[in-house]
Amino acid sequence: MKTLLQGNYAVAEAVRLARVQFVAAYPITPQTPIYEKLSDMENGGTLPGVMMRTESEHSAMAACIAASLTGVRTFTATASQGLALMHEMLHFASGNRVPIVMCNVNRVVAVPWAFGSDQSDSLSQRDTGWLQFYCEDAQEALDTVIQAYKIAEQVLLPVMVAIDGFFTSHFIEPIEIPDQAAVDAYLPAFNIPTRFNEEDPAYIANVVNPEQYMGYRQKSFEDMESTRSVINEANEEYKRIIGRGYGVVEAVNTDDAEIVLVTSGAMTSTARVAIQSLRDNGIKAGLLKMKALRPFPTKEVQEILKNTPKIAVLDRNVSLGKGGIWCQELKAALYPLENRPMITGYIAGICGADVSPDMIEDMVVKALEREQPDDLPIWVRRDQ
Amino acid sequence: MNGRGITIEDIKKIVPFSQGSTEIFLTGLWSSRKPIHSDKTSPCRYACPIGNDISRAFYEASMGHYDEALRIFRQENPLPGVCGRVCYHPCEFQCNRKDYDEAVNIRGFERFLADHGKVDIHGEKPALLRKEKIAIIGSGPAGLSAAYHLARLGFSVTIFEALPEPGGMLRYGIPEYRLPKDILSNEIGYIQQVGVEIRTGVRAGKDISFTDMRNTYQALFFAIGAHDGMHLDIEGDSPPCVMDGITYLRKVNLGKKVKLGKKTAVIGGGNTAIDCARTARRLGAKSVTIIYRRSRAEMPALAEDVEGMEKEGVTIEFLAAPKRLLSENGKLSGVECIRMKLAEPDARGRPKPLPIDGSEFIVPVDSIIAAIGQVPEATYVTDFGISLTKSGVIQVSPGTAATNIDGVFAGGDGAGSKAFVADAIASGKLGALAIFCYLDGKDFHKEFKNHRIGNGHAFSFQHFLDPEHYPVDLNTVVPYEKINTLCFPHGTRHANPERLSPKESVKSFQEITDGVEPSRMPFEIYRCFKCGTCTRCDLCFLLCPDISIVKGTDKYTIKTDFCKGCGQCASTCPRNVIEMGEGLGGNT
Repeated sequence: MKTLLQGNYAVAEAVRLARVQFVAAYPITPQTPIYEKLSDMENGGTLPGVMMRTESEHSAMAACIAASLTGVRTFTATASQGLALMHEMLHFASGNRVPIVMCNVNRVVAVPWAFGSDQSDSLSQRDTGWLQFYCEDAQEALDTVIQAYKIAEQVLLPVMVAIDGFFTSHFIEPIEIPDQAAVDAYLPAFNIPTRFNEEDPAYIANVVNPEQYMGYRQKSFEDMESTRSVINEANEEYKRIIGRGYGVVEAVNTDDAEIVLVTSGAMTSTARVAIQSLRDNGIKAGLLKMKALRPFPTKEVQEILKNTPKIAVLDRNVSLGKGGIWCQELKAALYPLENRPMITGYIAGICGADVSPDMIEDMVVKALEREQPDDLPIWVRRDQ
Repeated sequence: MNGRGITIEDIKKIVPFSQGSTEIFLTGLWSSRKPIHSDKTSPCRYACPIGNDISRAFYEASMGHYDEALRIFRQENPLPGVCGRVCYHPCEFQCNRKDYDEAVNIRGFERFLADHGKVDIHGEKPALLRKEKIAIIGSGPAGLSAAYHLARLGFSVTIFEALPEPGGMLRYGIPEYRLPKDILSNEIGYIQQVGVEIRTGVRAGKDISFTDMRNTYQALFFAIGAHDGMHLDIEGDSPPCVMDGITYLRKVNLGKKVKLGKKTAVIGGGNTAIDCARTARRLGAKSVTIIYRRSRAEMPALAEDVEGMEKEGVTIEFLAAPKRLLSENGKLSGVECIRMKLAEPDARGRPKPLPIDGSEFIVPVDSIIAAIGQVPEATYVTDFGISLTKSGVIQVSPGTAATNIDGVFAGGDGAGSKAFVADAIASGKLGALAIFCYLDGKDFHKEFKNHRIGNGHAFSFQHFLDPEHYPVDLNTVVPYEKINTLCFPHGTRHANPERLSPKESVKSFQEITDGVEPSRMPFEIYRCFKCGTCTRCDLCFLLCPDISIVKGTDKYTIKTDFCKGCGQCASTCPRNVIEMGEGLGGNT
């Protein structure tokens, strides 16, 4: 049976089902309903753990790290400025190898001050050592949060689950909430030992020499690489027990495509409609949905796009001085291909600006007609 | 790694996770600034002629150690009960708290301790007795102070007092409504218990010869006071109803009947004048008028005493000087005065009063008390060969108490000290140190300098006797700017209440002022900043980000191996005990 829920509440339901023992968070638009829902659950006695209301996101993450080190399952959620404020602690989390799961609700970063969806907040935390998953809708957000614990607790690395502000966080969709028994069967109790023992005190984040430091970094890198199989196994098991699943990428009609549109997050749903419309009009267009940013699914995209002549990448984010971040990541991943595709980058939907199916169709057509490649992105704005 | 069964050993391989200690990293070696924890001198102590360790006494009292607080006062001052009542409290004028709200009631605190505290005499007696004997001539504050400190140094001390009871000006100059005799007697009794012998009714030079004293005693200390009142040098007969102030007060205090009229004028603006006027009111004078040459601001008497006097109905004729006494039928009928104006300041910084020609006026009176100054009855000491100064006081070499005769010392206002109790006590202390150095072959100037408070005239006997007991930097006085006032709430001063209404007070010699209510005293003790005295408040210990403040049982030390010199301890220290200084790392 499905329930009507906004994406934020779906995330809160996932936290409850995962039997999270400790939540530390600070409210920020558009994440606040997650915070409110978890508070509501705590008040009603349905949240298995406790909530700590911190005075900042930096403190929230610090509290999660400390709690996780003591051997409990932890969760936090934030957005935009909050994530930026957390930045230092994100490195602490991955460096301390704590399996925290965080939901980031994508929102533009000031200045100017605004609230709409934009992936720049979480994409700019790319190199903090967290796994990052971008979800297309509320159902995927719920399922991904539960899967994230399964992954994080095996590899001892933190996981960030990103959803689009308002499009996913606030739109109400029919959601299938799994049974607690099914989730329990999927996700075992947290079993990482406490690193704090009064009898045998320890110090974390201590000073090390360059060789030791590099050793730890290499080990972390290798462990991040090892997550690739863990992610797939976690998804397969989820499919088996709960009945749904999502790959790190998803290819739609790509095999014979003359052009493939690459998207991520909530815009993917719109793109599915646009691609179908193009196919109906005889254009051999395909769709590649990117879910994982880190670890980057290099082998998967190479396999899917090795014979594709042209690619259009739709980015709801921008890196000044370069372009859309997914586009750059993709270009780097495809560089080893024998027949490199011609790639056109589009910047669209910044700050939640409307991106309609006909706009997407237009972008795909223009990219298909293009003959000369250009590394610079094309800005697509409805007002121009 | 498999998630099922991750162990602590697995984690140790992947994260910097130490169960050892970080103490091998001497991070403090990088810094060139280090905190220095050292008790300093409070401005009240610096202002006190006696050098009482006031902030430390407040600190001890704040912990409920009232007897220890009293003991701290008695280290410097044998007469806290006296000073707690009659001192002109220069400490309060310099109190840092006055810049925050109101000065702390330090005098009231000293009185409180003296009235309620106890000090174990046996603990104060000298450990070693010395064979030298010392004679002290005069049992006023200077003589008592010198005797007390010399006795504590182990000397055998005898005081010779001409009057029937000891105390000098404290007994015969200060009226009982300001200083009850039993309070004085108690404090003198304490000095006797420390081992001082007092022989009253013995006039030096008459009842015991100078030669005998020289033969019996290895050092003499003259603290003869200034018991001769100066006389009015003005036109007109001196009928019986004109008396000098100090003689008047002495006669009253001796219990003699003094007959003065109903309308009395008191000439002068100092403490003696105020005491005379208020005494005259108590002895039945219906009208008492003070005649003073200058204005209120220049009066040497304490403002609060002048105010109390006016409440008792005494009027003041400012800017007036007596010119001529008027008689009718052989009886005093009035005093002709001349109006004065204030001119440029004189050498002592006080504006010089000048007569205004033709401004004469008459104040009708039937008696006059002239309280215009006192001189020692010093002529007899010249018989011993002791030199006097031009102003008639015993000459002592500057800064010491030595007279022109070897082994003979002098102090108090008979030797030119300021005519205040505290200055007399300070002068006696100085005499005690000078005599000790003389008998022990020590360099007085060096000893004084080692225990001197700031660059002032006071030194600490406690520091002299045991510098390690309360280690303190006597040279550094804490200014208001270095108090962290964020640590202190504002609070009203708890003043000493009046025991009697002015109407009642003039009916008897009962003490006017009461002690601070004991239940209120802790609040006044709390108001004191305790400038420069570590109160173990733990702020430095709690705020140090490098855990480099080590809390010992009696003091804090700083681990300079780890202190990075951030200075948080120094800037938060409420009372300027911690300051930043230059210095490389390395453990203290």
